[in-house]
Amino acid sequence: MESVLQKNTLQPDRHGNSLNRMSPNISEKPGLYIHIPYCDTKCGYCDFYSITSEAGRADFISAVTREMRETADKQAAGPFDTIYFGGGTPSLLTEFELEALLRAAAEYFEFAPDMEITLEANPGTLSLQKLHSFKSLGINRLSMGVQSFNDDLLRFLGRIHDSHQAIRSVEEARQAGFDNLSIDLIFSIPGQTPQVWRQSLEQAVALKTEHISAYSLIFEQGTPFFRQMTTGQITPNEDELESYFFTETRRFFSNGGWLSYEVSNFARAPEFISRHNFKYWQLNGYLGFGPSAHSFWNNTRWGNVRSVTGYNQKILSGKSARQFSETIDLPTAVFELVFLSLRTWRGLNLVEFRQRFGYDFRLRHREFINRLLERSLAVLTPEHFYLTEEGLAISDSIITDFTV
Amino acid sequence: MYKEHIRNFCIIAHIDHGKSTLADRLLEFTHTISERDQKAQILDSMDLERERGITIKSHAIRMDYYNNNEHYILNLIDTPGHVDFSYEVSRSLAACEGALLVVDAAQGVEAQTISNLYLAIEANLTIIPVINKVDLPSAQVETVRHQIIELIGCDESEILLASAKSGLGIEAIVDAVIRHIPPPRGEASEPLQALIFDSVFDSYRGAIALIRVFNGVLRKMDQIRFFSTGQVFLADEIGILRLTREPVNELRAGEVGYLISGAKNVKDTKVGDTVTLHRRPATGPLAGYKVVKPMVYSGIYPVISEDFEELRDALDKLALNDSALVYEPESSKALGFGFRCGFLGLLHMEIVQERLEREYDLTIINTVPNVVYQVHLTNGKVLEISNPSDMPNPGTIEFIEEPVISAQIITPPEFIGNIMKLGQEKRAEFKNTTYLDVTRVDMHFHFPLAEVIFDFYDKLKSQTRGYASFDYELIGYQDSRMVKLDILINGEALDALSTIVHVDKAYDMGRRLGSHLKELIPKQMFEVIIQAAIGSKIIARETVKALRKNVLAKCYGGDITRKRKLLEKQKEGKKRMKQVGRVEIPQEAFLAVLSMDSDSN
Repeated sequence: MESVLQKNTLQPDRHGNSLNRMSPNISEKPGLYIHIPYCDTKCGYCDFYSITSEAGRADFISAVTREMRETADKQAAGPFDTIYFGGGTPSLLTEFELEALLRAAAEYFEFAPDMEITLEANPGTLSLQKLHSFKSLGINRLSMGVQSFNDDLLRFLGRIHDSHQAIRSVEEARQAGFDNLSIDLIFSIPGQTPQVWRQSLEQAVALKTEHISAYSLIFEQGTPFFRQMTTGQITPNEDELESYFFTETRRFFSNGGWLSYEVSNFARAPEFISRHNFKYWQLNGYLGFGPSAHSFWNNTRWGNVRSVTGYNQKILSGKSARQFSETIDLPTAVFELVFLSLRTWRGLNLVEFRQRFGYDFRLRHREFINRLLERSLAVLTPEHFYLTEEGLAISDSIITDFTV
Repeated sequence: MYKEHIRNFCIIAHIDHGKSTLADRLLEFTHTISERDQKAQILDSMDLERERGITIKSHAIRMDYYNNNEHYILNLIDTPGHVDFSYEVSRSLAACEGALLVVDAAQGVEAQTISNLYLAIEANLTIIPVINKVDLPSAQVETVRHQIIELIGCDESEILLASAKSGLGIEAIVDAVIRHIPPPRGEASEPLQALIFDSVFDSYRGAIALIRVFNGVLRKMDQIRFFSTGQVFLADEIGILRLTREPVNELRAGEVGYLISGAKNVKDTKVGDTVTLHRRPATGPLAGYKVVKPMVYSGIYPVISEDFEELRDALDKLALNDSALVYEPESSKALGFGFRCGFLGLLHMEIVQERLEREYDLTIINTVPNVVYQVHLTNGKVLEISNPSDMPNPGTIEFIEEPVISAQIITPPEFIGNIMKLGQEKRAEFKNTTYLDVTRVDMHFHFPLAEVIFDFYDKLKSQTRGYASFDYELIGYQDSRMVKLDILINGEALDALSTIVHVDKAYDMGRRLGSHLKELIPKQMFEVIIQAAIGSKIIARETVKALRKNVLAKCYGGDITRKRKLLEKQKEGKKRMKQVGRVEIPQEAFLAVLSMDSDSN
């Protein structure tokens, strides 16, 4: 199958190697996000918008393509250099659906020459044949929702796959030619020992993926886990244990030579940073499509309704699907940039900050900086202000001390 | 007006025994008000009074009553209903010749009723006993009748039965007031002596004194003089009190009314003071005037430091109408600028705090209340210490005296054991027990006042399932081994948390306070050490471990707005905490001593 990218004026990597040559893989260009809300089952911890029925499926693709068209008419064009299919379970899409979405994107938006196109995939939904078709459509990065290599924990989390399927999916993705793979893992699950967690980490590293996301389990409001926590059926780990998991995880990656480039994200090398996700942490522009998708563009952030049928109905009758919209004024933008960029290993870029906001962060926030430097929670270099490992672990507390 | 046709009286009753309802019925019966005009319970005019069911300020109202072609003037003087205001009660009683003793038929005689009754008997008032609420299903008229006979030694036939709610027995009460309460003595021809029994502030008229004329005549535009201050004013307006003020030209010996002079502030028209004429003064004041001194002190601080001036304005305004409230600016290392406030008692303190928050919309932190100590120094000097942080160095102290109260607790006998135990815990000295009848015991203790101002009421209630009633009066000072207990946060003394405690309790208190604070102070970015110390000796130590992880795992495009709002909310929460050094301390911590569960450990 021909890659849809060839429909755009710009060529994909001629060797079929989608690997980005930038190091680190960070850009200032805007990105596109497409939310695929369908799942086979709903996991107890997940608070992303998804449904397990096929409701609205028939209209969904045309609604998203129409939203792209209408957004492209109104918003300034790119070039965009990332597309991210998030969910839900984007890997449930048929190749025809995926192709339709990619074609629409390529038609309405200008693409940069080195697109990073990521698809979130669940091991239980993949086959070699499907992986081949994804690859040939131009998808060049897969983010696999493995979560754990322990079958008991996978059942506890409500996943549909087992550890063997997870391993096989990674191997098949390689066979299909994917050279930029990421896997998601979860730690600090009640009942999970540090030893069991370490085994999952080691298994993930042994699979030689380019990227790993390792998340501490969050009990998000509105999820089954949250309800079970309030009724006492699940007891979250004590701070001490959670903190141990967190620190050990970060130590594991740094000892292994990985780049711990964000709170929960680790890249085998700087060129394997998730270019798309990194945009969020430096407050770059992004346009989101589909139910519950968010966008940030020209100092405005908006989000779509959390309902596929509601979304389809609005979009297909020519209305906006936005449920909320806010203007990010200058002080809010400063606050957001600070709290987001301090999640990353290089922290706040002081030169860019000055260009963007017109003043020197170091002068205005000297006290804030000094308090953190004194306690070795942060480091200041001529170009960057970033948190140390200790600082990163408590960055939410640090941020609540920051006043614009 | 013939003095022989005037009756000045008050009502003595425990909270909820029906004093206000009875007053309303009397006003109706004498056509002073029509049923239509009635807000429930006319006499309690402040919102707080109505809510709490207690009277804070005295009031007076004049009723006209016609009987057998005779015109009587009945002056009902309402009295404050709480021990904190017992001086004001005594002055109100002094303005009367008689009192209705109202006892609830279901509840029986209670401690507060007795203490006010004794005040009335001391003031030589004629007592008319009334059993109220006799129509309640739970009424125990016979039992209560015997309690009353036991108490005042009256004849059974003198006790009136009434139901203020239904109006039963009201006429008989009015009748008894006229027949049994003597008319006022005193001569109109003598030099003027008028007692100020209450003083209220009116934003248009200034201080309005409620007065009872004992001798002489007060005329409009007389030059008057207040005995305690010697200040001279002009009687701009005098009058009598009905539902509204009614100006008259003169008030004669025996009459009750009001006086508006140029006095701006209730501190000029002091309760208990005597008014006389400037040109023809009486030889002396009426007996019984006292300077009221605060018994309980507490720091009041604005939560937001910028509100300091607003707090000062609010206190200034409250003080216009509350001569017992004293305050002066103080500063605390922990809390910044605020005021050291003195109160008549805990209830008075609560009322002031509540009014500051409700009527002036201020958010305040109040520090742990304490009593006033007499600190005798080795050099012979005596200091009055009302703030723990003013306590001098232990090396310079010879001994410390603390205020002592005589307390009366009336309880069903089955709770005697619990009360004795509570007494022990509170360093009380047991005096004696008297059986009022088989269902009621009158227990008498001496308590250090400091022990009663903490959690005593609540404990007494829970130990006696709400049956016991309690009343007290200050009787003096006693030598006690008191020490100052300090709380150190990361090595720095937190002045607002210092307390003065008895040495025998200091160790335990320090330990419990430390562990309680550990619960109240949230984890910070660094370790927080809480220490309790007496002088330089550390007696307890707790550690709030440093926060080691506080970062949300996921923050992508759809999370940013929500996440930012969450952080902003946490930031707001931090603002409400007080920053002491680098440590953020929540407001609750400053009242840790009060919220401490003394039963734990």
